[in-house]
Formats: sequence, structure tokens, C-alpha cells
Amino acid sequence: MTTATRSEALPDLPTVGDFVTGYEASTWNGVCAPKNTPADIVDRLNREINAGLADPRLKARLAEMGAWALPGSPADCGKLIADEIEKWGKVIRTGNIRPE
Amino acid sequence: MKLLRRQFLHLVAGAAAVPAVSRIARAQAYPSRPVRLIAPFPPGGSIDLTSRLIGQWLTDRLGQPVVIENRSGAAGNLGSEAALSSPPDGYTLLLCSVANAISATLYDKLNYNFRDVAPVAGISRAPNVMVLHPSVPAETVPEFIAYAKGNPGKINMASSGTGTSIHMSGELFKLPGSTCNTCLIAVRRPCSPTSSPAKSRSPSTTCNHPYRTSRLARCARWR
Repeated sequence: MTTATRSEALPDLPTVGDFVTGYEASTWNGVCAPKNTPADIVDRLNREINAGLADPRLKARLAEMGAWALPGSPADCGKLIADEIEKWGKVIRTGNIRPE
Repeated sequence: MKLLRRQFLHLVAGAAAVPAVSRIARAQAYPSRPVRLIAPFPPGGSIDLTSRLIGQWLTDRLGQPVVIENRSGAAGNLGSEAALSSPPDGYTLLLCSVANAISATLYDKLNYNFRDVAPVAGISRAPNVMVLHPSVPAETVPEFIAYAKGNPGKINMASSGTGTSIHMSGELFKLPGSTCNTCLIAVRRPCSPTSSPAKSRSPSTTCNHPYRTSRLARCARWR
């Protein structure tokens, strides 16, 4: 597993991070909107999405896809975006990776 | 005079209250028409499936259709640009992903700035899985690292494409400072297991690259 934690789908499979300190890579997704989208609309969408992520049926569907829910506030989502841009930016620059 | 002053203050207070009232009114009115949720990858992939899952949920909760629009191309950047350059009114949303975070650095000239969006909510996280070809004499990550160090330059890794999460998982593994920085793994993408729907029915039987990561769902199906 490349994630920081083991997956419920394959609980016996260790993480790469168990052996390579600090290793973490995952695919994640979320919803974002054009900048300057009104905060009240963002908050409404956030509430509804988080309600979905707490719903057992929806959680079960995510589990079938090998994924798990990533609930949180708009600020949490923004921090994830900023952290991931920084993380992969470092990997790309260090490895001098170019698009094909 | 006092009366006038009081009236004036009353008016000021009323004016200050107007934006708050309109915000509440707007939030209650939203959405008054269908909402577009752009999935910047083709139908059948994980981004598409996730967008349909959350789109149906939002449709039920918001009382307006949330329409999934697949706009694929350029590693997800075409659809992302379309979504993020739309009017900021809540009627166009993007199913964003780690691909956007990677593209933000990988591509010099994007017509959108993923650093400057209105984040709404996370949806899900999933692992990639490191798998080895059976010909590689390693059962664990430490055994593989030892094998790779003993065979510098001979390890190839397949991924589903430059800039994908799977590709980046391999690059991170050989990042300087990691325990595997001397492994000299070549990260290539000649053929690959993938979450891309176009290839999802053709497990990579022709592939014999000894190290690759794949999406959990596919790996689980191989078992």
C-alpha cells in the first residue's frame, strides 16, 4: 500500500511506509469550484458532501472502489490541495520530470 | 437633530444588514437550476465513478440535477480549465484530484491555477499498490530494495502515464534521501495496468516489468 495506513480491503498488506520512513502516496479526489465562488454556496455544498460521506451506503460504494471517505471542511480541502501541490512539486523538480 | 441622527444610524444599520440578508437568501435559493460537475477524465474511470456517486447524492440533497460532464484530455487539464474558468456562481464544479496537484508543477503553461481555487470538500482517498513480477526474487519491500540495490539500472517500473499518481508513487520511492535512492529504478510507461477505462479490460499480460504500482481495485481483481 502506498498510503499511510493499511486498506480495509487488503488488511494483511503492509504499507510501503512501514519500511521506507515517511513514504506516502495516494490518489485522492474532491470537489472544488472557481475562485471567488461565494462562501455560503461553498459551505452548503461542503455540508451536503460531508453528509454523503457519513452515509453507510455511500461509504460502502467507496469501499468497493478500494477507497475511503475523506471528510472535512473547505479549509481542510484547501490544505490538502496546497500540501499535495508542494509534495509532488518537490518530487517533480527533484526528479527533473518532464511531461511527454 | 437627534431624530435625524437616529434615523441616519438606523439606515446605516439597515444597509449593513442587506448583504447578510442577501447571502442567506442566495444560500436558500441555491441551486435554482441544474449544476454541472465536470469530471476531467473519461467515463468508467475512478474519477468518473466518484463523480457519479457524489453527483447522485447531491442531486437528491439539493433538489436540482447535478449533471456529470466528462471533459477528458491533457491529463485532466482540459476539463479542469473549463470548470475553473467558469463563472464563480456555484453552478459549475470540478471533480478535482491528485492529478491537478501534480499538473500544477509538471506543466509550465496551464490556463488555470490550481493554487487559486475555491476548495469545497474532499471525497475519497485510495492507495496505489506496489506489485512485483513473479520473476523478481523479493517478497517484501526490504527484499526488493536489497534486490534493486544489487541490480542497479536493471529495474523498470511501469505506470499508467507520465504525471499520474502511479508514476509519482514510483518517483517518490526513489527520491534522494529515501532509503532507495541508490536503487536506480527506471520509471517508464511502455505498457501498464491502469485505472484508465480504455485499458481496464486488458490486464497487462504482455508486461513483465518487475515493479509497478496499480490501483487497489485492479490489484484486488487480479487475485
